[in-house]
Amino acid sequence: MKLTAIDYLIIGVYFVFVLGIGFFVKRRTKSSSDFLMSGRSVPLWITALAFISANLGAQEVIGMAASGAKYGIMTSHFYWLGAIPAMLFLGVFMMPFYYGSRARSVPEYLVLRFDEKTRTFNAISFAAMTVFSSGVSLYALAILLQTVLGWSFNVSILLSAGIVMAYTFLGGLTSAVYNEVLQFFLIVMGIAPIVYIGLHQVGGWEGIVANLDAPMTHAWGYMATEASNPMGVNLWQMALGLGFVLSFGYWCTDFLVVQRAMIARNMSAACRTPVLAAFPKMFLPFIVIFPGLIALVLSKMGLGFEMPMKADGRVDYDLTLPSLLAHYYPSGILGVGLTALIASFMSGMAGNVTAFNTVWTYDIYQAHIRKDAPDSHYLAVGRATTVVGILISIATAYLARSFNNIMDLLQLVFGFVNAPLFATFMLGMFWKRATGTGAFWGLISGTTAAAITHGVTLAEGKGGWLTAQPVHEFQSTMGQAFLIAIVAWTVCFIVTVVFSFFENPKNAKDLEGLVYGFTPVDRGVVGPWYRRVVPLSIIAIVCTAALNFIFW
Amino acid sequence: MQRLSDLRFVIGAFLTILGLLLFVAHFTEGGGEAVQGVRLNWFGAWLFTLVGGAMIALSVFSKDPSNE
Repeated sequence: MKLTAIDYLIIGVYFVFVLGIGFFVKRRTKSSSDFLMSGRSVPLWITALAFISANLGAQEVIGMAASGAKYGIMTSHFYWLGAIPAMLFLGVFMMPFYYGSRARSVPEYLVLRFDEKTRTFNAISFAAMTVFSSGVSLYALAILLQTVLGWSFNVSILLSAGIVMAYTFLGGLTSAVYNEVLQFFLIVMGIAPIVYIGLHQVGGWEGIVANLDAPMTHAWGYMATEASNPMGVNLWQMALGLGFVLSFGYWCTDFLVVQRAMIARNMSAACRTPVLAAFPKMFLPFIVIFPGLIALVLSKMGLGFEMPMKADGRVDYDLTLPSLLAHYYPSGILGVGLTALIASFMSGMAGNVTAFNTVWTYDIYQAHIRKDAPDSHYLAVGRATTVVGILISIATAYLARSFNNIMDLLQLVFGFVNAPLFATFMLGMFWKRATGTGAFWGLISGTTAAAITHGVTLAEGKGGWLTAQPVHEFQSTMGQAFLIAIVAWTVCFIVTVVFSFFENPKNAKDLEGLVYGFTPVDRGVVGPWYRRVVPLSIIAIVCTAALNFIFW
Repeated sequence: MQRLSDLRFVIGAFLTILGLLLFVAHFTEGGGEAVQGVRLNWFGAWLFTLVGGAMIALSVFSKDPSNE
């Protein structure tokens, strides 16, 4: 890919704006709450777009195009099954408790509902997960810059991390959120022309259907067995693993995304944030997955495009989107497309780093190291944590090198951490009898069960580290990740319930505003139907069902 | 000055600048080869300029800055 001066100028303009936003926001960042929680004053349209954009990182933009080429339209399950229902559930059922409890973070909700040890376990595992994800983002961008611009892996990592560090250090969460919104427009508008031109060239959806095997173009039709579809998962693994455990575990309990709703101005806006975000989210597969399908068809039709290959002769799916950019885009819009990819990385990484900041400062440092310091001290800790978080991300980026598909890796990590956590939250919010000891041992057991399941099963050479002979071999790492999530959730659920019966539950008064049934649910509902959470959710679920039906 | 701090204005300005740069690319680099009858720099230039301009207009003509 050959860039000219105009391409570099476009990349430069992007960096100027990103850093400019950081400098501008810095003037208004006076307290730790401003830095770590945006002063809880961000308008709805910004929180809704940031909610999507925090999950529109390099893993999603590059990884979903890769999965689109590898697994076909089944990848859309990460949206229509694995995101929208959970986002709506968050807005309708869980956000009233997150926001109403005035917790500053998801782990802080756990200390209010359960106890300190449960919060600390979650805070530490979440912190580890965010820097891990941040490192994966960094790795993806470094590979991209290495391939496209010929930069060395090390220089790419240091330069990219430096820019993210600058604007998150200056303006904290507000800077990250404002940049996420800017990045959202850039990513969508930078990649959309590829989809438009690509679909035109391959003959639209009919052309894709005509040139690919049937399992690649059906979302649900080929899931009777693991062997009948390219993703290597069956219906119950998909429905339970992704559709229930992983998606609800991620969208309803991962502080990285929940934080975007928690910084809204009021309860109504907080509840509507994930619901409004669901509408653009349901159309994102056309931007991030279709390029993978288009690339595959182009290569089959002999239209001058070849799928990128690794040195060992296998297809390098992660380079599908960059290769498509190089194929279609002339100098000028090539700079825009490349900037969109860089933006996707920055969006993902900054989101992780800012969530890491908040959890570390409030849930680990303030809770265990220094409780009653002046606010300026926590502001300084928040800024210092930004630097530390970036440095750890750089270190973890090198770990990501040994995995061949970024999404598979993330699913694995989410299975270890998020899946059991969703069981804890379900019981915590909807069952008054759940106790702190039950939640704590449930989380420990669920996470351990996830690790053991990975250790005794094998998929594409991954896992199986506990036994010489694996108990089961999966068709794909995706199927393995889904099963791990199911096992982790189930073990956490059962252990939490059993252990809860050995401890007295909290008093009803202590559970007000934290558990269903003790206080009326307040969603801040006012005004006409289009401002209310439930009617909007019903419309979103009908639209999503229609999309599933169309691509059945 | 207050409008300049409106996020819609900032994003609109950013997109408009990118659109103008794409116009420059179209006229200086020949616009690139047409794919399916579409010159992508020309297409992108209009897309970014129109969306960016619309966001600036929204920010200028609305009563209050959206992020204040």
